[in-house]
Amino acid sequence: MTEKRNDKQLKTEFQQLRETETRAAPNFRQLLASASRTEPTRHFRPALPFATAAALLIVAIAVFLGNGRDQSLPELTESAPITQEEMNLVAALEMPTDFLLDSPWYELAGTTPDFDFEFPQYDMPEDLSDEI
Amino acid sequence: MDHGQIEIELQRLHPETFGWALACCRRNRSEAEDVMQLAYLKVLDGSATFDHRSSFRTWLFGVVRLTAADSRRRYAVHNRLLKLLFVNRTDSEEPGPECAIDYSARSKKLVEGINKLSPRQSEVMQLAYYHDMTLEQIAAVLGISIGSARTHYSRGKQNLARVLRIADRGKTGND
Repeated sequence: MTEKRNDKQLKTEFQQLRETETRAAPNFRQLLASASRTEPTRHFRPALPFATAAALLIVAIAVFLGNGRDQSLPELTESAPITQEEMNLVAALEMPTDFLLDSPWYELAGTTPDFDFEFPQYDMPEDLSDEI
Repeated sequence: MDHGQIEIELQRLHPETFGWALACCRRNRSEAEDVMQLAYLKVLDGSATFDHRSSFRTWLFGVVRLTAADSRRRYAVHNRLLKLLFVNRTDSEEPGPECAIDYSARSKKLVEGINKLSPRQSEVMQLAYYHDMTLEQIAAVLGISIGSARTHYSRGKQNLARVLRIADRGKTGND
């Protein structure tokens, strides 16, 4: 019984709500006209200035950083052809550290000494050679 | 159905569709109008095609429901993105004065009660009591089984009655 009464009451209240909202419905033709003209953007419209500002900010930062970087190439100068004298100079160039190679007894290291005697023969003992 | 017939049907169902769009948008009028526009566009340009498996009204309500869900999702992503991008503002969920509907005190209480239900229960209650739909039609609109629709219906009815009773008691207590 109570459930039936609840049901009836809910129905009545929903009916009232329906009447109120039906009265407030927008005009069909106007809604259809605006629908076919453009897609609704009402909710996104307030955000448009923020999006534009963000885009401008990004562009400004990019331009600023782009200007700050030195992108100019060094100027190329045409040089005169090298003369024979200059080439000779280059060929005769000695490194200033060359003297470090002239160590004492440097000449000896490049030759084999000649001894005037023969070295005595030496026979290795057998017992020792086994150990080796 | 050709374009002309669809338009006639849309016009016939327009007030009722508005009520359903309001329910899908938690009674936010401007959002509901946007959703209706999008849904009408989908129907008229053929992106949503009526396959005659249900009545036109049931199918249209399904289109409106999906459009509202899609719109809400996009709006949430958009809002989150705005918050992320140094904009500390959110549009109010409450409808502004320019789009408020002049509800009676009783209807206002009912709307508040509906909004306190789970989304699914409020949808089922709206379709059952506001649009006089059968459980089968409700299931078709919401894309759920009839059994599930029945469960949401009985729970929604209990919860709504309880919420309204509490609201009534509160009012009597205040008086």
